[in-house]
Amino acid sequence: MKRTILLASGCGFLVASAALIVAHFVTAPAPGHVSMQIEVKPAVMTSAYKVYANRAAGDGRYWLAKIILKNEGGRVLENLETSFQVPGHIAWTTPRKHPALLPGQTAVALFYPRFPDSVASKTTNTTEQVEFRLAYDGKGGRHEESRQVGFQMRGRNDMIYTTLPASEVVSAHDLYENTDLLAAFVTPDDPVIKYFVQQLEQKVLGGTGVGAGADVEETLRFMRAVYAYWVASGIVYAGTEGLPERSGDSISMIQHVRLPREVLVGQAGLCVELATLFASIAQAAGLEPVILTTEQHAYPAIKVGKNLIPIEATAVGMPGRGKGYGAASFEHAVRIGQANLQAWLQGRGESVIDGKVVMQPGMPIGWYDIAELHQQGIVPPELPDDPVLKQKIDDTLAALLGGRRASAQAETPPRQAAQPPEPGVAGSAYSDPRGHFVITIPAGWQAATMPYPAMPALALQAMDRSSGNGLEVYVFEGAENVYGAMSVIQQAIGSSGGVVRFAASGTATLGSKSFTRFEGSTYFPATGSGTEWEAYARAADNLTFVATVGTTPGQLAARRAYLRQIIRTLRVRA
Amino acid sequence: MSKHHPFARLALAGIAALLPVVTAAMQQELPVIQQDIEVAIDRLGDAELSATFTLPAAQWRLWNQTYGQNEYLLKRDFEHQFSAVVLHDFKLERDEMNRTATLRMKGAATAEYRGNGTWEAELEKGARGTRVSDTVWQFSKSTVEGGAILQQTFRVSLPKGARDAEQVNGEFGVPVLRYTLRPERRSPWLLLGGTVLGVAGLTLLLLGLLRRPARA
Repeated sequence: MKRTILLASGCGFLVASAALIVAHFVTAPAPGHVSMQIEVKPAVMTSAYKVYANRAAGDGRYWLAKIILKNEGGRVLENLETSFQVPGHIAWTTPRKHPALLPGQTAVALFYPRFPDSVASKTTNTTEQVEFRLAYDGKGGRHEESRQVGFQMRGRNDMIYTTLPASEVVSAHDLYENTDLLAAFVTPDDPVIKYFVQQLEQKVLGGTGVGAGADVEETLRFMRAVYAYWVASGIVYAGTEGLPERSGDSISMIQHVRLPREVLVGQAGLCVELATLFASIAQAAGLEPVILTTEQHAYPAIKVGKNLIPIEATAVGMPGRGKGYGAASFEHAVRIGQANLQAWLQGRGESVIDGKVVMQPGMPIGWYDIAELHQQGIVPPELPDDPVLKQKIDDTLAALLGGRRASAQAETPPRQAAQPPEPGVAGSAYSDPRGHFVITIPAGWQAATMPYPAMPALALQAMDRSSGNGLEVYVFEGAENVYGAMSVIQQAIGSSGGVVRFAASGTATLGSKSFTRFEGSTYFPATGSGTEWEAYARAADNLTFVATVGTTPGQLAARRAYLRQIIRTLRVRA
Repeated sequence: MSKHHPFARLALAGIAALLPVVTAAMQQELPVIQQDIEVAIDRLGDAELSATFTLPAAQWRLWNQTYGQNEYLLKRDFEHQFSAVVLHDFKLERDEMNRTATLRMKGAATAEYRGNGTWEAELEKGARGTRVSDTVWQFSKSTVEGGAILQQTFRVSLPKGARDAEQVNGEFGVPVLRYTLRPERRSPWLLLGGTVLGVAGLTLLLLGLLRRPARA
């Protein structure tokens, strides 16, 4: 009997044992499985190549590639290694080790590329690849995966103001979200800039420098000398330019910005170029420069303790345009700068002196403390010495000191004060048959209603063939998206062989309704013809209006006031 | 723009840039802003974060001007600032009557597993922490941001079972909170129980077989 009990118990225990062991294996978790999500910046600025290499710059936001790894399986993945390369520029990086990725755990691998110094001399745009490699121990041994994603490497003179996808751009601030990198264009350590400052201090300021701790008076003396050199040596304001380009799936506002050494020797600059040049010179002298930006403008200022001394660098003028566009005095340049700063602080788009509007820089965008940004790792490229440029500085200074003193200053009225008279708009009112809008068509212009069946949104086109001035009004029904409407127009003209470029340039009120203003150009490479234009867009009540006024290339600045008179007659229903 | 910790941005983006000018123009005593930030890290290194702040009237107006109609901007700012973390589930609660707001979000990969049970969570530069308990650390910081004195208190809760927490310099020279927490392993009881039962069964079977059958 006992034997039977022993045998039965043994069998029962063995069955239970087998059941538990089977249960152990049946309920075993699934093998580890890694999912990868890859993000790559659409474009990098080679002028900021040192910034991208610095994990600490901008709190780490300037990575080129970001890989998000997640273990979607039930077992631990071990010995993960991630590495990157940019063929032709950066060899495979030393693998970064992740000892384990637990079930459900997420890990992030960021790539801060160390481009060689040679990219700082790159002047063209190229499409490059970033390659990513992942290796890990999983089921069945070592696994390896690799991916490759393209990005644009811009030339050293390209400033990318935003890298946001078009769908994310809803305000002027969005268009300038990447503008901290402007600090990479301020080059106080450039041997050419340092040499210029040294020469200025020796030959113009009588051997006295300024430097940290300079008071307001000393700072103004230095600023005056710099400004006087600019005026006397013929540095001029070269007008505005800001062209959006499509980069991957992003609309990027990219501007060609020359390095300060190029502006100093080339003797002409856009507002932003004159601002970065002034800031570079000031910082090289030991001062603390700041650059303020608005929707359409940039200007420098110098921090002196708790004071701020702004200067309108473009007040050097555009003498080539004739009377009224000459250089303003240093005092007036500072005064305009103060008016700009006041408008900036008060959130206004117009700078006023003695009740008179002297500039329309647009709404405030940003404040860039250059020393602070440099300290954060947003630093300029390494620039080689250039004896030829130094010689040009020597020659210019010798010519100035031999003849006119650098302290000579033109006292002509500021450029900003000189506006051509605005002729009135004599013509006839045009009413849209659907009742969407009314606008005055100037006398002598030829008008056509819905001239292109393929583009039904184009409700009106009018043109003066003698001057090349023209206007167009588009109405998009059933949609409320200003940028979307601009893109549709861009694509429609693109399909006809035209190249359309534009950038938001502020807001405007027409008949009590607010519009987004764009400035742009259209160019037909096949015929060599084109226009420069301003567009005014508004979206409301399921309608989007885009009205453009334009003229022949190179004439927009001169005819802007007249064209704006025409657009001011526009009244829209929504 | 000036650099700000994301929680500082949370309260002050849009006005921070005005700081030097405002102070120059006004030369007045700066208001004090208190921010309380809670970070609760779980066993996988993921975290739930919340930040609560109350602003003076002027700062509240400016903050609303920046984020009032575009709360997505907050998300974007945070994503820029926390590049190594995967942020999701943002939620902003505003109490207009008291000019108070609370932003909540989740952050995967807030702490990174470094092997051998060691985890590291990155801290802000210059942060100095105090150990409150085995699993709770508190950090304080006071800075001038956006025309105000910003006093921040960070309370970091580590997962249950975490031990040996200490503030050290991490791989990239930034301070990290390092702690030990062994990853959970699968319970071996089924296998162990099965083995014991198997051994016992075999023993009983062997004993039964060795015993002589009873005589009829």
